[in-house]
Amino acid sequence: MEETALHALMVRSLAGDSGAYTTLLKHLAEALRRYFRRKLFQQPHEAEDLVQDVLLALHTKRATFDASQRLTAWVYAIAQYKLIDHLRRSKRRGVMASIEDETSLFTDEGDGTASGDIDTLLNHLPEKQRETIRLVKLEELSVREAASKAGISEADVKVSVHRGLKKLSRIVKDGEG
Amino acid sequence: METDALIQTLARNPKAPGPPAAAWLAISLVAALAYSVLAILIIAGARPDFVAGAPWVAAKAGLSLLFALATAPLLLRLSKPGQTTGGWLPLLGVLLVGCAMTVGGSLASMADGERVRAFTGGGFPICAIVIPTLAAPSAAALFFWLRKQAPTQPVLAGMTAGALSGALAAMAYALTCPVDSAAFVATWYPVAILACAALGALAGKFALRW
Repeated sequence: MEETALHALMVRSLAGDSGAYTTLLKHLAEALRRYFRRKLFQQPHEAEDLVQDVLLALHTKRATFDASQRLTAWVYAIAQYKLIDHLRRSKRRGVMASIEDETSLFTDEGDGTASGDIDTLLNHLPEKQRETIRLVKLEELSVREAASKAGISEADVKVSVHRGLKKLSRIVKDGEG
Repeated sequence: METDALIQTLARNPKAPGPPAAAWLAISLVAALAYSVLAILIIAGARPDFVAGAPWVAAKAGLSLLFALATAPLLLRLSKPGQTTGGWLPLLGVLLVGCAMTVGGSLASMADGERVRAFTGGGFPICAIVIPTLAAPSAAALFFWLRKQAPTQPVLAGMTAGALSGALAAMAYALTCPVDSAAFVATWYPVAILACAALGALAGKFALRW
C-alpha cells in the first residue's frame, strides 16, 4: 500500500473510523514485522515484541500525527526510536541499526523472514553443524528427534549445535557472511 | 498478547484524544509567562525608574522574546515524530551570532576604562543565576507537556524546552534588571538562556524517554 492510501486511512481513523484503523494497523504491523525481522534477524520473538511495542506507541501517540506530514515518515520515526531504544537497552552487539530513510520500512524486497540471511550464514558452517542447527533451532525438534533424524548420537547433536552457534556468533560479530 | 488481538483492542478507540498539542503548548506558555512576571514582581519588584527606563525594559524583553519566538515553533516540531527542525535551529544560531556581534561592536566603541563595567554591569551578573532559577517551574511545565507528546530526539527537545523556559524568565527579569548596557544584555541574557538549554538537554536525556 502506498503513502497516499495509508495516509488516507490514518486520517479516517483519527476521525473515528474503526474499520479504517484496523486495516491501517494490520498493514503497518506487517511492514514493521518485515523491518524488525531484518534488523534483529536472530530474534523473531524480540521482533514481534517490538512490533507490538510500536503499535502501542503509534496508538498512544496518535495525536502527534500531523495530517500535513507523511504518514510513513511519522511511523518510521517512531519505529526507529523504539528500535534504538531496544538496542540500547539490550546492549547487544553485532546487530546495528543502520541509518536509512523511511522508504526502507516500506520496501517489499525480500520476504523479511530472515530465512535468507540465516541460510547465507549457515553456509559458512560444516555440514554436520549446519544440519543439526537447522533441525534443533529452525525446525525446533528435540535433541533426541534431531539425533535420530541425522543418524548421530544425542551428545554429538549437542556438541555440534554448540560449536556451530559459537562459530555463527563469531561470524556475525566480525561482520563476515 | 497476540499482535492481531492487540490490533483489535486498539482499533476499538481510533479517535485522536483531546484538543491539539499546539493549543496545550500555547496555554502552557501563557501560564509560564504569567507566573514568571508575577514571581519577579513579588520577589524583586519592578525597577525603581521603570518609566524612565521603559525603552531599555522593552529592548531587553524584546531580545528575550526573539529567543522565545525561535524556540517555541522548534519545540512544537521536535514534539512530533518525523518532523524536521525546519530552519529554526539555524535561526537560533543567527540570533546568538547577532548577540555576539552586538557585544563586540559596543565594547569596541568604548573607552578602555568603561569596558569592564559595561560588560559585568558593575558587579556579578546575577541574572545568569536568577533567570535559570526563575525558569525551573516553567521548564517543568513544558516537560510535562512534552512527555505527553512523542519527542524522538529527547536531548534536543529537552534543550529547546529549557531554552524556551529561560527566554520566558528573561522577559520577566527585564522588568527588574537595573543594568542598561548593550554589552551586558547581549552577553548575559543569552548566557542565562543557554544555561537553561544545557540543563534542559541533560534533563531531557532522562525525563523524556517514552
